[in-house]
Amino acid sequence: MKFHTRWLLGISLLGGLQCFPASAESAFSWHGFLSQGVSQSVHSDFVSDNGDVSFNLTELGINMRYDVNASLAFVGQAVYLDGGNRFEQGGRLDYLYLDWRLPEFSNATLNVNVGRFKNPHWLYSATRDVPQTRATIILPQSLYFDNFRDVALGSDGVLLRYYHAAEEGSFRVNWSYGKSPMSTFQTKALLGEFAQGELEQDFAHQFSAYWQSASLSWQIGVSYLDSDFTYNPAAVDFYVAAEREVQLYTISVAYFAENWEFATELQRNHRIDQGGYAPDYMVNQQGEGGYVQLRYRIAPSYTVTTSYDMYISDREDRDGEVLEAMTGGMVPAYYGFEKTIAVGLQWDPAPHWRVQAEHHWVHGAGRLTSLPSSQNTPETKEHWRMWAMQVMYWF
Amino acid sequence: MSALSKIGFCFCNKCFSIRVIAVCLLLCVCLPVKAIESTVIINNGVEKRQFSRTDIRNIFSARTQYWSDGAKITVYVLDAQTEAHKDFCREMLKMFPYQLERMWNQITYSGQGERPQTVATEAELIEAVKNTPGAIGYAYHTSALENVREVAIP
Repeated sequence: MKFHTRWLLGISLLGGLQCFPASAESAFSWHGFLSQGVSQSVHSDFVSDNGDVSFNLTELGINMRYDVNASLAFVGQAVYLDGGNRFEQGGRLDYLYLDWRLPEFSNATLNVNVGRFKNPHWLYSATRDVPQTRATIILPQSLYFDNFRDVALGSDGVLLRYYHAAEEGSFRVNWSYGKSPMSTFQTKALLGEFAQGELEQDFAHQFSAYWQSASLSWQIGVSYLDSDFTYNPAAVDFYVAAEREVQLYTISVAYFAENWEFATELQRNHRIDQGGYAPDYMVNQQGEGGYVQLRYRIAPSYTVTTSYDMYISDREDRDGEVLEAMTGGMVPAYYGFEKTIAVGLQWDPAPHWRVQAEHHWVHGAGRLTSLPSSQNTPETKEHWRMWAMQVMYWF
Repeated sequence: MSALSKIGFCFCNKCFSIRVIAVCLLLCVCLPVKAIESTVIINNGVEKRQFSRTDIRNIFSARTQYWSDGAKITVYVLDAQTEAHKDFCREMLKMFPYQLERMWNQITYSGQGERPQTVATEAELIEAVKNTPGAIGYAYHTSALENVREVAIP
């Protein structure tokens, strides 16, 4: 979709909906967001192939909720996203589910969501595509890997959300089971440009538990993900049949003070690949990553953010030298890790409006999917940087 | 001559008075300004009588969206930048206004519920609570309250 076409669509949508505001006590409610930005990755194809300044930073979304009664609701959100090379450009049905709320007992609630739901398991995962809910335009890639956005964001299946509130703090438990459809973009993001077959996610099984102190100063959580993938090769294909098993273990901690806040998420992954390059090919490795992030409100409308993000694809090859040796030098060692320092500024000039800008300095290319091969030479150098600026409005 | 006088501290009446005034001014700046005391108000038709602080927090953070009789809760608040809203968040909900805003955004944009309605003035807020079945809000000029019920929080 062309730049002006997508914006005409967004503005028409906004104008049309603003003409029909939902009344306060209505069973139907809707909200949305519009954002446009500009970004550039220098010495890397993270945003664009040629490293030029790119306006491919558009996020539009509209959601609705219809409460049938106190215990049943239909909920949905559609988005249009364009992040350049970061994820697949286009419209998506972000979520569409039936929200069934069981009767409350002893300050505890249980919701059962059936359909396409958003994963609530990490700090930002439930709203990672909603620009005004993010601390930075580009989230820490160790956990919020953009190329894998659609699979990580949600699933088609069932989600249980338990919430218990008490004077001494609140406790939240989420459990989900489902699978995500895999697009050609996702297949190539995981397996490379030359994959001709179909990749399927067999299942994604996730669990998370969060505790928040009574003062709401602390939020501490743990989460677990278990997922299997199967690759069915095409009749003529670079790859043979393959399977991948992935487990993710994550710890999330956030601290909130009046003018500053701190957040960190640490993750370890365990991956077993069988097949792919050859029927007897097998990889069994553990990677790890995480980020620390500090935000400070320098004035009521201004917030500065700084973060350090780190990802290692193989804990036993932290500098990527084994990776380079195994591929005969075709894949440079710096594709085995990625370390990023970022600084950003948020400005809220008016209610529901935000301007956000940031700069990232990156060492390594472990979170890029454009892997070097005999027929592909990506642009990303060992040290690269990117910046982005975005204006957003939400209602 | 005392040790303090030796290092430049004069204890004549004039200097002492100036220091006392300076200390008082400093204390005025450093001590917190008294918070705006607000009270939770609900529509007269709401049946629930007893509220804990957890109940109030769950309602204003949009986690509880229906009364126990199945009626929809409509929450009214003032703009997030007003002192009344900031004080309500700190004193009643025991959280910072930006935390509340985050919770609303998370709940709203992941489809889990509806954020509160924002109104411009306290008079509008009281009027909205009065006229909307199942509504809840807050007020700080309690003498102006008519046809809404004040909620006592233990």
